[in-house]
Amino acid sequence: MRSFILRRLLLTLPVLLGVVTLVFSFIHLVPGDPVQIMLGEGAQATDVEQLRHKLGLDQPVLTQYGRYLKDVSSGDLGISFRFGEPVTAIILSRFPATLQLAMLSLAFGALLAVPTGVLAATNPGGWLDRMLTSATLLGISLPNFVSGPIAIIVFSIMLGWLPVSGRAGLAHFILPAVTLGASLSAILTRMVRAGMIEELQEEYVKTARAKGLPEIKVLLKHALKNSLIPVVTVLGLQFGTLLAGAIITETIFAWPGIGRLTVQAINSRDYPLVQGCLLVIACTYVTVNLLTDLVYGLLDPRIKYQ
Amino acid sequence: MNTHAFLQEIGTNRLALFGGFVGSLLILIAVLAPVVAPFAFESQDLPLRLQPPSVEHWFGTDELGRDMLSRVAHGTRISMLVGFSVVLVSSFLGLLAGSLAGYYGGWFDEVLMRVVDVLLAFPGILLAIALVAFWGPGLEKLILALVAVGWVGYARLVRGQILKVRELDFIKAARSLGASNARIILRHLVPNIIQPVLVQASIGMAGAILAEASLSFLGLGVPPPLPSWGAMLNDGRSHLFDAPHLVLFPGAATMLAVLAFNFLGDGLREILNPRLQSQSTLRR
Repeated sequence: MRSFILRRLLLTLPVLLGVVTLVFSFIHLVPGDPVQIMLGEGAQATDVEQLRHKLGLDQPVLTQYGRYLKDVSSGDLGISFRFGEPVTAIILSRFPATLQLAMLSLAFGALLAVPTGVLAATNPGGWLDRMLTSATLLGISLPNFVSGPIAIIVFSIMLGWLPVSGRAGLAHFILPAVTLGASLSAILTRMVRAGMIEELQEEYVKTARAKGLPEIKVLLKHALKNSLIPVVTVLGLQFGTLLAGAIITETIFAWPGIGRLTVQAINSRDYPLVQGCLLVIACTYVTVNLLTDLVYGLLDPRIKYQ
Repeated sequence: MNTHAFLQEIGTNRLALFGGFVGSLLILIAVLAPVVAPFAFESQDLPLRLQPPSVEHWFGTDELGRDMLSRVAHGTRISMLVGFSVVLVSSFLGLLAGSLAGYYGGWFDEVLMRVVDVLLAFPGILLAIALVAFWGPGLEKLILALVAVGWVGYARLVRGQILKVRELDFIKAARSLGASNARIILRHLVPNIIQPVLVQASIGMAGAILAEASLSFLGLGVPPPLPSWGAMLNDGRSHLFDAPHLVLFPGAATMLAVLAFNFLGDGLREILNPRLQSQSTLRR
């Protein structure tokens, strides 16, 4: 097991280096002078030169790259042009809100998907299965920038049950978390259903039924347990999608997380902050994928020998 | 599966039929947008701003008094243009890179796989947002950003398929008969791996439409006054209370387009992978 963990960790290092390199190169993709764009057309030449020097953009590219690697490895992501504060501090103050939202969406997605998937799988091809599977396709195809405003119209404006925006209490979490978790829930439902249908055809299920076990026990204690292993992988992989989806969901619900911060940074051409946000989201994604792989290896011993 | 059998299967697969029908309808609307739209999409009529749906304006009007039906119809053009451009260029690049890497292996394969690993370390839409954020908005830049993200999936899929097929006997036979590498790749390998690429292309079309709308929603996509469903949704957000139709119609159009191409992809997958048919619920 230890060599499996070590190998996965070693494989992750070059990916992380690639991510940092790509994020570093973004500022060099800007057509024209990034400093001039940040300061605007009417900026004084001295101000432009000052900021260029401050950002280190007057150095040769390789020197800039070396400095960026060194700074990033010590947790220094530069100074935000808009806020005048360290990027790391700004991101740290916003990241918990995004994590809370993503975790709640994940919990909502999983809690809805498991019973729905099991229900659909109990009678494949039946009316309930057809209805639930159609609903999942709808859920997968419904973008959060469509479902979010529709949810606001129905639950905030028409019914007045839930607040439109903010993060003051539990009620504020419901609409953003459900909007963000809806498509995840649909994907998971399909996975649980497919896994359950496969497991229910296995010999051990027939044996359990032949022994006279109640159907509910066969479903939940035997089939479900085994069909959940691939779901863990999908949960991990979808976490990254949730982080990316948070950019839109947080914009819709004015949620004070890293997603909204990224959009604000893009709109104000605050390139150091944009780079910082992208780096943190990508690194979180890579880390969660690594953890998912490790957990999968623990759950299914066949994996670590491959 | 030969072409005739393939078309016959499509005719009996409800998912593929529905997806194909709605997809074709959307393409038709995109082509005929100037004819279908009752008004010019940029034509403003301020006294008629924020009108609800009526006989004259079926989808109502926006905050500048522009006809929403005309804007949604022209928005179909943008979506289809972006979708097809991204899918065509990404699949071509993916086929090229994936075939070469899978067939020749060696350093090219190694480098390609590392690049793929790094690009996949970003959630797809995030990378597209990043590229557009630094490149600046614009239709061509948007397509380029989505291609930069999209080719990776095709390359990985094609490489995997080529690795499987290149070891089969008929490839060895072609090689022993003296067929050139280019001929083996183009005449023997690619035709045998194209079916999963078609499935990916259909689902990729849905993804590209969704990504375009997402970026336009964030103000990073198509610049105004060009009508994009995502941008219309974003504009409509400030009128959720007084004019919900501004969100509902472009929202429904986006959902329908994504649903149609996802259905088509799912249907094609079922047809090309008969094992899935026994698990399907919506097929017949």
